[in-house]
Amino acid sequence: MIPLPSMPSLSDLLTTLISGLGTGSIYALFVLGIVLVFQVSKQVNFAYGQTGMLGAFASWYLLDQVGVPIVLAIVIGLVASTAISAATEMVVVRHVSKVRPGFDLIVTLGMFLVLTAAAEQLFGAEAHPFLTELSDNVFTIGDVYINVSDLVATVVIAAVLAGTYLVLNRTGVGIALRASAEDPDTAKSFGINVPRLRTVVWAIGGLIAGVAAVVFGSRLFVDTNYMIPVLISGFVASMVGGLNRFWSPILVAIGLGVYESVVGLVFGASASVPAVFAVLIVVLTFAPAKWVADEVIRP
Amino acid sequence: MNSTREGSQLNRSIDPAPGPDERPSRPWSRKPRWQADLVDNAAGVAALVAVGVVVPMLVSSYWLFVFGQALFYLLATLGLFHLYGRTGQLSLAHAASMGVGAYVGAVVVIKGMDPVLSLPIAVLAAMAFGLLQAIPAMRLSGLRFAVVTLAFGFLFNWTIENTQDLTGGTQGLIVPGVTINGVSLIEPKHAFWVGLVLAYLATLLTIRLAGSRLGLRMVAVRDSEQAARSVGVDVGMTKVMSFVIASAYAGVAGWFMAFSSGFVSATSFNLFASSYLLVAVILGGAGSVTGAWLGAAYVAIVPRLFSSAGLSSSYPLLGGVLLIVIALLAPGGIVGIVQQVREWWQQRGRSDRVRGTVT
Repeated sequence: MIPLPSMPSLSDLLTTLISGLGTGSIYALFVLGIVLVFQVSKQVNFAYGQTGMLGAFASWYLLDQVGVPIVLAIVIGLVASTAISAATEMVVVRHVSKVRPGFDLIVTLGMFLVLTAAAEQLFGAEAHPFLTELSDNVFTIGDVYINVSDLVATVVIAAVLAGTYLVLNRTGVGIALRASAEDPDTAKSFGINVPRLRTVVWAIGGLIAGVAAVVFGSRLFVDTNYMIPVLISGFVASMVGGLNRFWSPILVAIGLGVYESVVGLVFGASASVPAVFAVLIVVLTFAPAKWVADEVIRP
Repeated sequence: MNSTREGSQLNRSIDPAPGPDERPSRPWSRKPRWQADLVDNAAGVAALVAVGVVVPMLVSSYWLFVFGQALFYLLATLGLFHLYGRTGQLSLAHAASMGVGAYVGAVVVIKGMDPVLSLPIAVLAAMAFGLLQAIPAMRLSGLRFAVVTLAFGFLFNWTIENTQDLTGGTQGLIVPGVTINGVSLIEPKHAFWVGLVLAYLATLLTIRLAGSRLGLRMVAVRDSEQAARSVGVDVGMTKVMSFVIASAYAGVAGWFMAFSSGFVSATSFNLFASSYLLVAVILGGAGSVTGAWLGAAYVAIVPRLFSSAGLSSSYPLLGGVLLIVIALLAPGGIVGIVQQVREWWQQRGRSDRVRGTVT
């Protein structure tokens, strides 16, 4: 059934690798947000993709429909994502009873539906091209095509990763964050305001989701559902890499992006979805039990 | 005498395997259990017949169709009752399991198979889909389990979109009408009757299954995997069984929905549809059969009310708000609220009496 792959040329392969690196960078950025939020609050946000989507969709609306300058439109979109994520934590997630661990999934699934419906009410259900000046801008080195949007994604993730690493390891805030991730009670006794820190991290997570959504939207289009594949790939990378680790899920995310692109090149674009699944199933079925152990402690 | 009879009535739904001498006074106790159930629930059967006769006289054929759909949805919510309500595993691909039943049934009938034979094949396909998810999921719990199902739901939609020739892709698929022994599912009245019978049997089966050893193992896994393991429950196997059973329910539901509505479309079985099923089950009360009935009514009827009021885009909003509000304020759903009110009422009466004796 599988069509015999024809050997791609070297320049095709390089082009694919670079675009895969771009996709992987977006996944990695997204996963960074998931991991940060998980480390301090031991919770995962199903609405995380939609948080970014609403921000990016809002910037499209401001840019294309209202005529706001491009930089301002993006900034407002990112602020919206940040605010939505912080609000999700303060209004909803914080109040989930600790006795019922599964309910954080339920409430963020609720947020997923609410944000999707809100985006549809505000901006409509159609897909719109967004920031085409990035993805339409292609230059070549030799025979290798490089998309500016991929380049931006790679540079942004490198910068954000470096920044996050420095903040976590070199600043007081970072140390407080790591302390409360490791042991919230002890951190509290040392005078760290853990709940506030949690909200701040959720807000930062929202900002990261917004950046990822703007960059991803610039490659395709924006609509209410365009971030769902990113959410799934991001979750797959988090599951395979392990949410309680820092570098491993991010590296898995980058690898996943490259892998998807290469599979797409060899077997055709639609083959990348089952290829991601194969990874998920193989890893979760055969990885050592310790690797896949659930970090959520059940009472 | 009277009290022992009441006792055994109660035990029936809880005790997994009562000994042969437990109901000595019953002449029908040697009959197979399901027959005993039918006789026991003569009132239930009578009510069923009454509903089947009266409701079609009262409502238009459109609403009869909607009620029929609600009864088929009930099969799906009862499946989720086992998987989420009893085993505690959050599935975001339950609608996809329905979709497997619907599409497999429709496609094999279009390819010329006998419709009667297509039902077991569709159900087996749905069970295989459940098993495929359960294998990676059996070692996982909570979040990771949910993510695996999320991914599988996505895989289902991808499959439909990429098999245009067979399934019609994003355009949907027109399902041929089938008539079996004079029963035509496309006829709302027939679908409603079939739905009633199915709903009745499925409810009996569900109660029986919940009281069986497997059902008790499911609850043990939900309450604490570690504790369940420590008393010898095979946690992974219980999850797999629960998943496959839930998928079988969903497959039956999907098959009947496809042939009663005459059309299937992948959007009826996507992530949102799975989320609405969860909303339905949690709204009714995740651990209760009554909750599954309420949930089925919600998920079949409320979206149609919204679209007839021209507000169809507000239905997801309602679903999301309901999920949040119920999870935060009323984890037991409607059934839980009713129970709490009843307990509060009884408590109040009792404390009055106590106060009365003191003064």
